Amino acid sequence: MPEQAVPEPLLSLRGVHTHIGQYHILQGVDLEVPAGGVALLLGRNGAGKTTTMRTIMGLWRASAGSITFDGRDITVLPTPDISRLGIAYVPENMAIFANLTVRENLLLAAVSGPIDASRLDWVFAAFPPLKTFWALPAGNLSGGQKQMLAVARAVIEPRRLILIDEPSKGLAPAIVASLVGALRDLKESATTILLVEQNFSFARALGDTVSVMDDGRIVHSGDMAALVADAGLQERLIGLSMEAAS
Amino acid sequence: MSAPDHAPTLVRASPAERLAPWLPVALVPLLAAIGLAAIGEASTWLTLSVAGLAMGMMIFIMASGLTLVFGLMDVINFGHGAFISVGAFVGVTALLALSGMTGADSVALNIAALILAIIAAMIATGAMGYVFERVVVMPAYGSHLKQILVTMGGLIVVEQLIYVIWGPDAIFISRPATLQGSLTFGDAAIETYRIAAVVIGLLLFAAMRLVLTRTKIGLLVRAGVADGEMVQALGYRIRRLFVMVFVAGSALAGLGGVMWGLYQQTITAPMGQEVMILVFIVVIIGGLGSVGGCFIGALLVGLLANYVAFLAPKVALVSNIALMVAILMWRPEGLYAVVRAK
Repeated sequence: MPEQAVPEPLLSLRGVHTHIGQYHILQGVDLEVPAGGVALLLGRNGAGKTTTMRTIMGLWRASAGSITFDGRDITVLPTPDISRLGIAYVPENMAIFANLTVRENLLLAAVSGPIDASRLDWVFAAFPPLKTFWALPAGNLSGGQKQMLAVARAVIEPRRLILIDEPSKGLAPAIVASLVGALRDLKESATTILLVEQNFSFARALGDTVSVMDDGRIVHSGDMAALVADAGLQERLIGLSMEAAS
Repeated sequence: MSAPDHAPTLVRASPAERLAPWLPVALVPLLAAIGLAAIGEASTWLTLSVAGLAMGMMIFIMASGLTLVFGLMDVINFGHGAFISVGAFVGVTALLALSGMTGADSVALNIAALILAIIAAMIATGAMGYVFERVVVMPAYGSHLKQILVTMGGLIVVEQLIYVIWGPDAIFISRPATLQGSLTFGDAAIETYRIAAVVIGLLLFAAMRLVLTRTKIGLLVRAGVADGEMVQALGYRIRRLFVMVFVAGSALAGLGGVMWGLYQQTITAPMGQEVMILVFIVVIIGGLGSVGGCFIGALLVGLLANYVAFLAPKVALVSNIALMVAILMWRPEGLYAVVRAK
């Protein structure tokens, strides 16, 4: 296959190692996320996907290697500074503030000032339950609605890069469809998304590029279209990474 | 814009679900009603109830900062009692220095002296809290065992410093003239100071509620108690918030120390350490990190201590431990659990 011109990556990881206690989780991760579009990070459970996301956010420190965002080294930056560069994080457990209302959750996410009305309109259109339950404690929402709130919190302000960890996990198909729609809108607005996902349908619907992790390393990188078109590669990677492929 | 193909539904909560958050609040009037039935005489019950509420408010003031420090920073601060003692000593020293105002036949001068003493105590304990957090607590983040050891050590050092500065003897203090004496309601005589303590406690609780629910700082504190890591991921420097809450909690302990000292009319270096048992019980009953739970827990502890001391003095010492056990059997994470996510 002829090589395509690759645009300058927005996010780049070079030889990143992460230790958690005595465990060596990331063992030299090399990853590039091009500006714009959706980059998928696939891998079986325990491959190191979540650790990669948390290391990018500075929630766990890289013990070796470097992470650059838009040409700036962010390897040792504190998490709040990384966030304020325009990187949002939606963790696997959603981490919504259950004791705060939906409104309060979004107010806090609007770090630089009041919530922008047009952004809020977009959020309400994409995720109507958030308008319905605006004044209720977020802890009272269903799992799918909590995921909507977690994504809404990430997009309530303009972001350059959004890290989303397994958004479709355990959600009903209708809610997953809503999320796909919302993420597609974001993609069209030139927001870059790094998405960890094990649901192949979800991944195929959104992904532009794909990287596959195993045992703390990237073992494959390429275009999503190439993966979809190559049955052999797909079978090898599905066997490796997509336990819940559908 | 893609239209979602599912419609949200608002399922009406069952009466039991709607009632659940209010059940802890109902415990206070329930305990008061049980007290009335057990004591029998309305005037005695009223005196004991006001005494219990006053005691509860003072414990709440001392415990509210500690519960936020627990919830937000995951720090077990056994040195909190040091701030109570120092607050009492600084406040009483200020009152003694202002004896001309406290003894004057003027409500305004009496209240002004009290306010000045409280401000002095809060500034001293707030500043001490800042140093304590930087020097003693910060190196022990993440390790409960280290926190217990170093904060206990800090408490001992501060107590010894009190002996050095103020001497080893207890200091006896008279309340400002306006806060001496009693008001009579029917056959019940209620100390003026206790009524003042209830009013100050209520005002402080209202102010804390206002800050926690209506300001961004308050939102950050509540969010930080639930999930500090996510607060950082949103772009907020939680370390600054930690220090601010620790300083505020220390200053509140100082305020509580002044009020407790005036309540007992005697202050000693270990007074903070002694009252910490009640403070910890209240923090645990209320649920770590919950100011509302702490408030209700403090009222329950205050009322129960006074009722039981009147009805069965021999079991007074264990009554609050028994209350804590009963509450934890009902709600293992306290009346209002807010740090479940940690």
